[in-house]
Amino acid sequence: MYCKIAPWSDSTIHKIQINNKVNAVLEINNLKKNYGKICAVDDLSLRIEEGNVYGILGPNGSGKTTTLSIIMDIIRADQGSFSWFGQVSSVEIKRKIGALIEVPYFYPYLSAEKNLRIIAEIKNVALSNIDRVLQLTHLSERKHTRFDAYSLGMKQRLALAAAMLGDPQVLVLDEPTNGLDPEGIAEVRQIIKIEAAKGKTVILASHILDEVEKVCTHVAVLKKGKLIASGKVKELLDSGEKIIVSATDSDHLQKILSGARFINNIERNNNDFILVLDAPYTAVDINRFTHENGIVLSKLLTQQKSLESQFLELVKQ
Amino acid sequence: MKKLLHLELIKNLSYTNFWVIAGLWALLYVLIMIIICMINIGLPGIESKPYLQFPQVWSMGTWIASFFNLLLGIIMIVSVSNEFAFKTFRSQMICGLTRNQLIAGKGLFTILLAVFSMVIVFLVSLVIGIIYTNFGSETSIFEKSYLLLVYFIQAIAYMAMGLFIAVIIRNAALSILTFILYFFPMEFILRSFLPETVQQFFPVKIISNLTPSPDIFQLSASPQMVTNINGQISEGAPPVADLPLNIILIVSIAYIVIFYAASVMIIRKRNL
Ligand SMILES: Nc1ncnc2c1ncn2[C@@H]1O[C@H](COP(=O)(O)OP(=O)(O)OP(=O)(O)O)[C@@H](O)[C@H]1O
Ligand SMILES: [Mg+2]
Repeated sequence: MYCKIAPWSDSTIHKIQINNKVNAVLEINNLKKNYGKICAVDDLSLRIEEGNVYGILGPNGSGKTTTLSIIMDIIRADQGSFSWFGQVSSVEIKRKIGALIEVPYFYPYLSAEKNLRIIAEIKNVALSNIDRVLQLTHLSERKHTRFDAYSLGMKQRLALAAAMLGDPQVLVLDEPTNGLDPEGIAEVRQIIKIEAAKGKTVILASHILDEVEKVCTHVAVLKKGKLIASGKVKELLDSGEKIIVSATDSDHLQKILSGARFINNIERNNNDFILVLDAPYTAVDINRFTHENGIVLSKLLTQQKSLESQFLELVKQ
Repeated sequence: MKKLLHLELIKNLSYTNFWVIAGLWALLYVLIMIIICMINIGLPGIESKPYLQFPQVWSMGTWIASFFNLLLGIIMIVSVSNEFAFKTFRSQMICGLTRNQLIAGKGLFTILLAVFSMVIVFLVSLVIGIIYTNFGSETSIFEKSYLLLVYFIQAIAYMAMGLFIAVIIRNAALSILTFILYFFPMEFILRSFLPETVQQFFPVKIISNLTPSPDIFQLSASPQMVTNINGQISEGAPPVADLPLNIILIVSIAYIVIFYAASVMIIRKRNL
């Protein structure tokens, strides 16, 4: 009995140490890429962990595609480094990653199936996998059609199918819903969610806030190549509710408000106070709190900002 | 290796333009050989056709085939520029091919094409030889058949050059234009500014000299004429003796290595 404990505890310690490192699926350090005078990626550092659905959000030209191209080795960075699973990128690692970067690129004269066969061979994936991904993207019926005879949305689906060949641990998707009809968009989001539920890591670049908000757990916001915010989607984008209060005695109100533990942020604008509350608290709690402290509010407003305006605000900074 | 070659086969064998150019190559070659067989039939004076008999037919067969090597080079150019145009080099990199493997695949396909064209040249020459040779006791069928191997190297050299140009230019039409212009006027112009000893080592000169014209044509139209034109036109032997075949072979192989090494270097440096 006692004999067993020693090696067992030994190996758990070992595991914990490894986990700390392995957990980082992708680490980007101080990445920089210039195109002439334009700085496409500017000193970008990110850490993406296993199981994250990580959104990279930014307006057009903010460097999302450039960043993804660098981590997939198709564009060389001027400075900085990145590592996959704590290692320098290699062919073996690439086979664990399914990527769709920008527009789908296939041989126009080959059928969808043959195009996928090329990718399956490169990735050492069994050919039986091709039917699975074709079914998943609803392309089975058209698998013998030449790629150039596909519609834009079908091309995008095929690219997604290619990315999912071999059931990779990581999906890197650059605007995967580009060109899809509403049904297709919903399907792609569904596919991402299913993959995420299986514990896959997904890196999703998008300029659509709504998309990131709907499918991602984490988000990094880029602007002109710079990282301007990053964190959990909930924390970053959901802290939108602002409460505006005022009372006849503003200074007294300020004193009382600053004693409230559940207020995250107080901003004073003349006689108005703009408050951001911690998660479960609402205007009701503020009203009760001030009342209990002997102050009657002359104004109590909640202002729910649209996500769009928050995004714009983030980007404007 | 097998995987890379198989990928090339999927890509190229379903490509109509590949079959058009390859078919053109085979058709033109066979037709020209048939015409050569017929041409002299009506000519009085030359009773037999020594150049259609063993072992001379190997020289004839490979020399004629060498004119069509440009088409092989063009096949390679089209194949490589397509990868750039369709951005499929890029997507294959994303899936896990290395930049070296992208070029290695083209190299394997080049070898395969060279083998096939060599086999066709072999078969056509063999049939013609069998038809036209009056087999005597000392007929040596395979005496000059090493020329097939030389032709094989030459075909690879043309395709290596095509690959190199396509990797630099990345556009099929421009690459083909450059390839052809380099073959005809450009290298000739470059060469003519240099001393004859240097001239001999220019790639096109070296590569096309791999398969010299058969003896019978030396006095009439032959690539040797081109050499003579740019210097003094002398009646006898050219002022600088032709390099021996083994030197030409070694230099050609060196060019093939250079073309591949340079292509790999360029592919590694550039964004795809
Ligand atoms: N090959 C290139 N040559 C020159 N400039 C480039 C090149 N590729 C990208 N850029 C520039 O780099 C910047 C970032 O481009 P990138 O494609 O990464 O943006 P993006 O965030 O993916 O935008 P979008 O949402 O439109 O896809 C842009 O200003 C763009 O003009
Ligand atoms: Mg983009």
